[in-house]
Amino acid sequence: MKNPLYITSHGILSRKDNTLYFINETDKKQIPIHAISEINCFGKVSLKSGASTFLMKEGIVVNFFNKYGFYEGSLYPKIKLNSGLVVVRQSEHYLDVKKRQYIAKEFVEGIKHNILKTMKYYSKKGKNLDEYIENIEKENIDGDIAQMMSCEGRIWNNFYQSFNVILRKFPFNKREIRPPIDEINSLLSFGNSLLYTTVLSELYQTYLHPSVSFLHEPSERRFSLSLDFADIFKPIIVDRTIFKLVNNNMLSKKHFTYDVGCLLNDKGKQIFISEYQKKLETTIMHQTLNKKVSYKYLIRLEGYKLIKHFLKDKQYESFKMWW
Amino acid sequence: MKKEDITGVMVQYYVLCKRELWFYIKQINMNYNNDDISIGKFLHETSYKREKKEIRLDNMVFDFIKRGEELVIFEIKKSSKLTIGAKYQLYFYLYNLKLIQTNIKGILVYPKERKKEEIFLTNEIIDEMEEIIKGILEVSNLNRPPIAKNQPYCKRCSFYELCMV
Ligand code: SF4
Repeated sequence: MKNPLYITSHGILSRKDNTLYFINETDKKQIPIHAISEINCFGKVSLKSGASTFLMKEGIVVNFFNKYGFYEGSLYPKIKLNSGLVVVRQSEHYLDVKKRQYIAKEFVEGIKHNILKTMKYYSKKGKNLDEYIENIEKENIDGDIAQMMSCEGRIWNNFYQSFNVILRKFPFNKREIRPPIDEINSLLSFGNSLLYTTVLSELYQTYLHPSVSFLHEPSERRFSLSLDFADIFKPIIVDRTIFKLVNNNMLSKKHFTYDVGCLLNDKGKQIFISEYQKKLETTIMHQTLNKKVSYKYLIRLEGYKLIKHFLKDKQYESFKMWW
Repeated sequence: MKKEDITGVMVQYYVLCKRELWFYIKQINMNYNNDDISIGKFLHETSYKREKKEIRLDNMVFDFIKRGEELVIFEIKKSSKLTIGAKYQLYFYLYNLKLIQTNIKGILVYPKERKKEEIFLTNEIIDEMEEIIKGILEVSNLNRPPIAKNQPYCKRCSFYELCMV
C-alpha cells in the first residue's frame, strides 16, 4: 500500500536522475517515489523544477499547508484519468436541479447517519447525549440546496455542542475557524485540512472531476467535490481521532501555542498525524466486496459509487457506517 | 462507433465481459497501475527480439508475422490460461485479412510455457465473428454499462471494486 509522506521541517525537494530527495540543513533523504501516494508539506518546502515535473509525471499530488497547519493549495498533476463521458454526466448532475438535490441529500443523509452513529457509540459508553441525539434525529433533510445546507449546519452544531459531554478536557463552545480560538477548534481545523487532502488524493484515482460538486458550490476556491466527500467521513475519521487524542491524554496544553489564536505546535502536529494515519489504515469487512478495506479506501469506493450513479449503473447511496 | 473502429481488444472484451467492453469503449480504464499490464509489456519487449515487432495494419496490431507460402500471424500471450479472449482476437484478425489473402493461419505463442497453438478460420467461426461485430456495435450504443455479473474472471479484473461496490 502507498502511504502519504508528511514533511514537517523546512527544506528542498530535488531530483537527481530518477530519484527524489528531500534536503534540509542537516540531512539529505531519499524519497521512495513508488511507495508514496501524496506529499503533504507542513514546513516551508520548495520544489526544484526537476522535482515538480517528476512528481507531476508520477501523478503525485503535493499539498501545502501554512504555518498554522491549514491547507493552502496543491500541486495537482495533470488529470491522468479522463473520460469525456464521466465529466459530461457529472456536470449534467450538477446542472439539473433535481439530480443535484438527490446527490446533495444523500451526502447530508450520510453526514447525519455517521454523526449519529458516533454519538450513539459514546452514549453507550455512558455519556448523556440524548438531547443532542434527539435534535439531530428530528432533522428532516429536504428542500433546495440552501435548506439542506442549513440543515447540515444544525446537525454539526448539535454534534459540536455534544463535544463538551464527550471530551474529558478542553472546553468547546463554538466552531471558530479564523483563527481557531481554542484547542478543540484548532484540532478540528487541522484534522479537516488533513482529510480534505486525503480525499483529494483519492479523487485523483477516479474519473471524477474534483471541482464539480453538489452540496458545496463548485465556484468555491477549492476543489469542492473534496469538501463534499470529506464531510461524510469527518465524524468517523477526524472527530474520532480528536476524541481519542484528548480523552486518552495524548494531547495536553503543552502541544499548543497560544497567541492570536490557538494552534498545534510541531510535536502536537506529529502526534495528530500519526493517530490520523492509524485511523485511515483501520480496516473493516466490506459488505459487498467481501474483503477488508481501510477507511481510506472507503473514500475511493465512494468515488466509484458516484461514477456508477452518473453512468446510470447503480443509484448512489452515501456511505453510512454499518458497524 | 463504426465497424472500422473495432479493434482486437474489443473482441477480447466482448467474449470475456461485455461490461468491461463498454467501459473500454467509453474510455474508462482501471488498469493504470495494474501489474499484469506491465508484465505483458515486459514480455513483449524481451521475447522474440529477433523478429520484427508490432505490425500495424488498419486497426490491427500483430506481434509479428511471417511470410512464406502462407501468411502466419503470431500473437504472444503471457499464459495459456484464459486464452479465449486472445483466440478470438486472432480470429478477428484472420477474418479481416481473409479478403486480402486466403492462405493464412494464426499462432498463439506462450513463451513462458514454451507452447504454441494454431488457429484457423472456419465457416462457423466466420459466422460467429459477424455476430460478434454486430454485438460490439450494440454494446457501444448502450446508454449505460451492461449489468455486472460476478463471474470467476471478475477476480482478476481491474474493475472488480467498481463493479461490486
Ligand atoms: S469485474 Fe467482472 S463484471 Fe466487472 S468489468 Fe470486470 S469482468 Fe466484467
